[in-house]
Amino acid sequence: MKAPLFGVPLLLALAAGVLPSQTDSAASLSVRIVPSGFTATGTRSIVLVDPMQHFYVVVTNTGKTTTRLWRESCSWGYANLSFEIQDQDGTTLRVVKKPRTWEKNVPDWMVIPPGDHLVLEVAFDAATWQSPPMPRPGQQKLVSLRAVYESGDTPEASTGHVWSGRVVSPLNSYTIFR
Amino acid sequence: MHVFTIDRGPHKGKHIHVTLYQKTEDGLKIKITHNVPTAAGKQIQWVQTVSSNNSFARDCKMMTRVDPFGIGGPVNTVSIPAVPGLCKADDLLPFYWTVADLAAGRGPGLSDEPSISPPAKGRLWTNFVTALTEVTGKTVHHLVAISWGYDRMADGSVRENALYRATMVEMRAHGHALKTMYPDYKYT
Repeated sequence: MKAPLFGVPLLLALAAGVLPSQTDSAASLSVRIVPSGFTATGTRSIVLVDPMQHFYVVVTNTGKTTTRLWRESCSWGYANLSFEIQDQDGTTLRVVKKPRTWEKNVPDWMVIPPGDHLVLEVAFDAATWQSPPMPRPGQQKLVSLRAVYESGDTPEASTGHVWSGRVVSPLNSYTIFR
Repeated sequence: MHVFTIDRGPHKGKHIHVTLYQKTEDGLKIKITHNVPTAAGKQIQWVQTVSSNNSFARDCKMMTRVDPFGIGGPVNTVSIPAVPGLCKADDLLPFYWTVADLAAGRGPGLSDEPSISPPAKGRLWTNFVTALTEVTGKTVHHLVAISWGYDRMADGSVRENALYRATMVEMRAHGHALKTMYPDYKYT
């Protein structure tokens, strides 16, 4: 892991006591969004002003045994992270990755010991994401957002003993700055 | 299935064996083994180039590239000094398996599962040249090379190419891509 991944934003999120994640079909993982920071009033903020900026989604092995998760660098793991945005009227929109071309592509997993994490960087860039919830440049947007980490029960997952299932982070409000 | 024999040099008679060559929903799956021993002071390495008319070829302005080389977040992460720009590889060496791949237990065979979304019209063609090489220092000596690939049609279908020993024309493009992207090595 790169050092910044465990820097101030993650500590702030943990210190803020984010609610436990919901679990759909697997009890041994949790997922949460780590915002860029918090405003003075405690609102979660995601700052994506510069193309190099991103926020994190942390997938944690909450079980007692080691598990395997697909890396994003292979087709089995690339699109496992998605987001759900809830409108004020309750309508839920999904934000997923755009399909991409694969040339070198082999099943590639990462071993996650108990209590450890897979940390995913998200920039909501238009090259990667379909319909990301980005405000216009120079503006901000308040969204209700949750992360979904879902990994299919494929033959490769069975062969490699890679985790499959679906976990969802708490639905929280975030102000996205662009 | 398909065996391609090394026809000259100290490894004459040894071979690579394509044990799986199968269409998938959106591409192709290949697995290759070999029976070439590693001599002292040398390495056996796979080298693969890809030619295509897909977006990577346009974005990278290279019809033939050492695989992988393209644009895309967690996949293409390493800038190549000889080919600066948006397109990136997965390490600074011309070999298919990275040092991290090998440390993770990849090899000694090669596997790949390329795929692509169907085009709005016409076809997207993708053709690979996969070579088993013997590396001595900075010299990459090709032992045997094959050509394979597939077309993705606008109707969603996949048409796999025949598997055959790479032609001279394909080897020229393969060698040119290697020299362009990794000029520190000598390719024979």
